[in-house]
Amino acid sequence: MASMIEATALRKRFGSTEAVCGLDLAVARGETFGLLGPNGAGKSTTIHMLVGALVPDTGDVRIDGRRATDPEVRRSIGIAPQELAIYDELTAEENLAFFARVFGIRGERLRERVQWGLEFARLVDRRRDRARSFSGGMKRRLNLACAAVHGPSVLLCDEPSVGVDPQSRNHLFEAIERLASEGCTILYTTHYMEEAARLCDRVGIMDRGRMLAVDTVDALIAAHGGDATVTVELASEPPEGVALPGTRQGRTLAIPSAEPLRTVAELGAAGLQVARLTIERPDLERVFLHLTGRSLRD
Amino acid sequence: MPPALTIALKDLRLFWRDRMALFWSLAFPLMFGLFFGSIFGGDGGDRAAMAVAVVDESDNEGSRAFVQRLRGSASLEVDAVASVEQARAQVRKGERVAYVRIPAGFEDGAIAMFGRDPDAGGVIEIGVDPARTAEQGYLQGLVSQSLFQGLGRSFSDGAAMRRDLDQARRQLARADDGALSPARRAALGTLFDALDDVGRTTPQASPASETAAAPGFGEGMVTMAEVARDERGLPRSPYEITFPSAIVWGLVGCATAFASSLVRERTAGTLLRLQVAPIGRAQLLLGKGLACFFAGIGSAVVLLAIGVLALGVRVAAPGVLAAGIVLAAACFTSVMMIMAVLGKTEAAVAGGSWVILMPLAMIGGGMIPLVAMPSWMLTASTVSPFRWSILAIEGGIWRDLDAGDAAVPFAVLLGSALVLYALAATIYARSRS
Repeated sequence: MASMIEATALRKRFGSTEAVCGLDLAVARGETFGLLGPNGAGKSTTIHMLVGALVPDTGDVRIDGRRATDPEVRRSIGIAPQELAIYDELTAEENLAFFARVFGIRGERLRERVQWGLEFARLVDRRRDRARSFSGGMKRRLNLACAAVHGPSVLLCDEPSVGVDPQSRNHLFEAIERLASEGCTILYTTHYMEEAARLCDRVGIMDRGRMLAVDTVDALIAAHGGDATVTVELASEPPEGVALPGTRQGRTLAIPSAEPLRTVAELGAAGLQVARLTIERPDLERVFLHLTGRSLRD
Repeated sequence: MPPALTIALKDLRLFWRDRMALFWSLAFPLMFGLFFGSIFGGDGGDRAAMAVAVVDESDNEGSRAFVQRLRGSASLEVDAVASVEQARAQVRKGERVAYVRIPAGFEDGAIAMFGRDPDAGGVIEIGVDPARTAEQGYLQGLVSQSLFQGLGRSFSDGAAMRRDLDQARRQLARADDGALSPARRAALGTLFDALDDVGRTTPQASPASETAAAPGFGEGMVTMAEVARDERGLPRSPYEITFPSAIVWGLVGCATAFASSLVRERTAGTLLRLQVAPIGRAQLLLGKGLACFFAGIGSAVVLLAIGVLALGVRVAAPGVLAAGIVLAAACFTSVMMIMAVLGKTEAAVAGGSWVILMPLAMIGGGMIPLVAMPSWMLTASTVSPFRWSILAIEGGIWRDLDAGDAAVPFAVLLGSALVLYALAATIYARSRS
């Protein structure tokens, strides 16, 4: 599949800090791609270079095969910055209309797109209220609607869910899934693995300016997440002569296993009385820990 | 609609909703203009005495007594001048509010009231600018009051009264029939006889008692002459000096408000959105500049309208004034752009704006009017855009400059605007790194 976003050997240095170190990236048309990494990993710098707001020291960026500075390419890009990039003293309607206008939308189409944005952000009833009167979640939704009001084919969302309550976060996810279903190519940065797991077709794991791994969530977990962990709390002492797998603390056993169901069956066959059993599958947090030696939230 | 105009309209809307920005660009300059205008004009305290030139062409005992009584008025500041031409020139230049001419043949006392020979002249002439109607009526009243004080002296001094009546009888006898009807001649003769009887029963030379002037009673004794004041190049009121400064302060208020707006866009993330949009950096900066420019023009128009409609500020040269405001707004817009592209934070821009602009205001006429500056300060002020902006605006308000006279301030403002805009655009273009 042709790449909609393509970055080759991107480098960016701020003083003595190398924010991005030789990053390669390819996002297919219509794909939702997640950039997962802790704060300071270089995600935002990468996004700024992808949209042409920052000039890379070396490397090249192409959007739909053309440079991001091309006005036609720009017209097809939308960005939802990490900050709430809306005007507090403008109403929801005025914010949407302004950002649509700077992308050249006029007349009847302008009215249609503003109405679309209000519905997308679920702010139809608050259309004439100034943004400063909105809750954090409403502002986040408006922030995303402003990024998409001109109907871009590429949308870059830089940690759009920061500081949002669970309900509003769910609204945001639904909105992004809706854009993705309409064929929009989405680059989504986050340090929440559950967001990446829910929204993204593929995920790139970034740390200290480097792309450590890129693949689907399942493939990343399979490759870097390690075995599942079967945790068993025994109801009674095991029968004499039964060798216990894994590590034991009191009556609790922790057993690493590539095939956890088979492990559970073997424990039953050995005559163990189980009071409680949990199977913990590996996740992106484990992947990140494996790749970097530290937690995503460190 | 071009993107720059879209950005400008959005910024104007934000400006209109920003109370602090409105305060610094409208309310503060208005308070500045009103406060200093009232201080310089003395509206808040005792009114100054009216400066009047007196020409005593009669130079007799009566005229000298009359001048002395004028000098005694607390409402007048009387200076004697040698000729009526000199007096007219002083009024024309605005050095005196009016002149009072006491012609040859002037008589003081009762004779001034009843025995005046029309052919002999003797009618006091007051010369005043017809536009100064308040001063005109006030001065006429004060002159009449002084004349009636002379009449009062006659009535209170029997000998002086009889002396005046004898002279009046002689003038009555000399008057020809064409100028005086027989009936009026007879009536005046009867009046003089009756007054003579009064004089015989009046004690000698009592101390002069003041007699209040009856309104309108002295009207035949005084004529009014119009002397249009040549106000070209002179401020007519203190507000004509303070309002040009106020307008420039309004431009400064707009410049500081908009300088912060670019940094605010950067910190809020909206600048990133605008950078991603298909508009150039120059257009983005132009949009900011247009908003600042139009806000400055709006502020200037509002302040000027208040000055003209409420405080009598003149517009002597509308074309020069319009050009002056436009160029001053353009100059301060470019100053704003420099501050905006150099500042990294809102606090830095706000602080830097005042650090740069306050000294320029202090030496450029923003606080001390240019007309009141010592020469060294006037020389130093040439580096300040305040000076050239105030000069350009004053040129249209009271300096009455023509396009040629205004060429220097116009050229300085235009040149500064272009150079600073180019510099700001260059810095901004290089900031994408």
